[in-house]
Parts: sequence; structure tokens; C-alpha cells
Amino acid sequence: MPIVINLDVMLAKRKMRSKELAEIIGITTANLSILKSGKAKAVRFSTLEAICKALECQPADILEYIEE
Amino acid sequence: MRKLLLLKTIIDILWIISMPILLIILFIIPYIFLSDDYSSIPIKINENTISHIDFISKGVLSIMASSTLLVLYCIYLFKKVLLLFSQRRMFDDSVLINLNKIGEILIWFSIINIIGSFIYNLNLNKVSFEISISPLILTLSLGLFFMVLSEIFKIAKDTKEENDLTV
Repeated sequence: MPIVINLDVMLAKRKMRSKELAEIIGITTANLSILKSGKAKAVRFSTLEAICKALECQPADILEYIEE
Repeated sequence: MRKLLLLKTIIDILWIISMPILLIILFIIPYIFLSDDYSSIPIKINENTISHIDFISKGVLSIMASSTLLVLYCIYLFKKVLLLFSQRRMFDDSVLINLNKIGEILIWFSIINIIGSFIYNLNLNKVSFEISISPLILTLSLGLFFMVLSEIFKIAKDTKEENDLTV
């Protein structure tokens, strides 16, 4: 898929663990893993908002479009 | 899910009742070929009472009798689908495959019987034009319905997968 999720990069920058982020934003680690691995088909605005709030970043820091 | 349980019970009973029919069909096919006198056992296939037939009619009738085996196979497949439903595996690949297979088999059953009936009547010079809701047309529609149902289940499965992968 041409949309790449850079969540692990942001997590490394903020020195935060996936489990921690999952707890803050209120989703399961399994769902966060789906998002991180790029298997997710869609992201809810509420989830994106929570991630941006927790990581103090913009949606563009997490989502990136790379032409195939 | 009580309706599903009821349907499953009915289909299970139908399947058990169908077993002797299987044996009867296996007896009828050689009987059609070997016997020339049909007065002892009255045979009626698709509203055609069989009295005296030649070799072509024998072939047609045995094919029509064999096609009943297809219906038995459909009941078996439907039984499997209902079992998967009762296990809450509604979107299993087997459900999609079996529904499509049931549809195809019912269509083939209808086609075989429509053509068979026509050839049998043609052979006896009993060709007539009739406008009515034939059970075979209903079976044909049922077959198409099962195929449509299979496609709808495929769409539902894809939607469910997409929903499961929405974070």
C-alpha cells in the first residue's frame, strides 16, 4: 500500500513503548501492532487524534504517502 | 438462533429420510435399462408416468433419475453450511464455496430435467406448449438465488475483514 505508517519512528523519538501508547489511547496492543505493521485498512479519526495527542505530533508525522 | 436450530433439525431429518431414496434410485436405474414392462411398478418422473419406453427414453430417464442424486448432494452441502452457521462461522470460506456449489448443482439439476423431459416427450410425440410456474423453473431460480447469496456473503466477508482491520 502506498501509505506508510511511521508510528515506530515516532515511538522511538518519544522513547515510548507500544504497550504504553496502546494504554494511553485506549486500543489493544494487537490493534496497535496491526497499525504499526501496515496491515490496517483504515484508521479512525478518533484513534489518529489520540495518537497525535499522546505523541505530541501531527498526522503527517505518522502517515506518509510513497508512490509505488 | 432458534430458527437456525429448527432449520438444521428439519434438514437433518430430511437427510436421514433421503437415504432410502438413494437406494431406490440405485435400484431404479438398472431396472429402467433391464425391464421392458413398467406396469408392475408405476414410475412417475416430472409428471410423466412411464408406461412403455424405448432405448432413447431409457437413457433420458436414467439420467433424470441420476440427477436426483445431485439434489441429495445439495442437501448434504446445505447441512454442512448450517453446521458452520451453528458454529458461528458465518464467513468461513467453506460457506461461500458450498453456497455457490449448491447453486450450480441446482441449476444443472433443472437444466438436465428440463431437457430430459423435453426429449422424453418429443420421443413419445407428446410435445405440448404450456404456460405455468413449473417446479423446475423455481428450482432454477433457487439455484441462482444460492449463487447470489454466495456473492453477497463474499461481499459481507470482505466488509467484515475491512472492519476488523480498522484501528
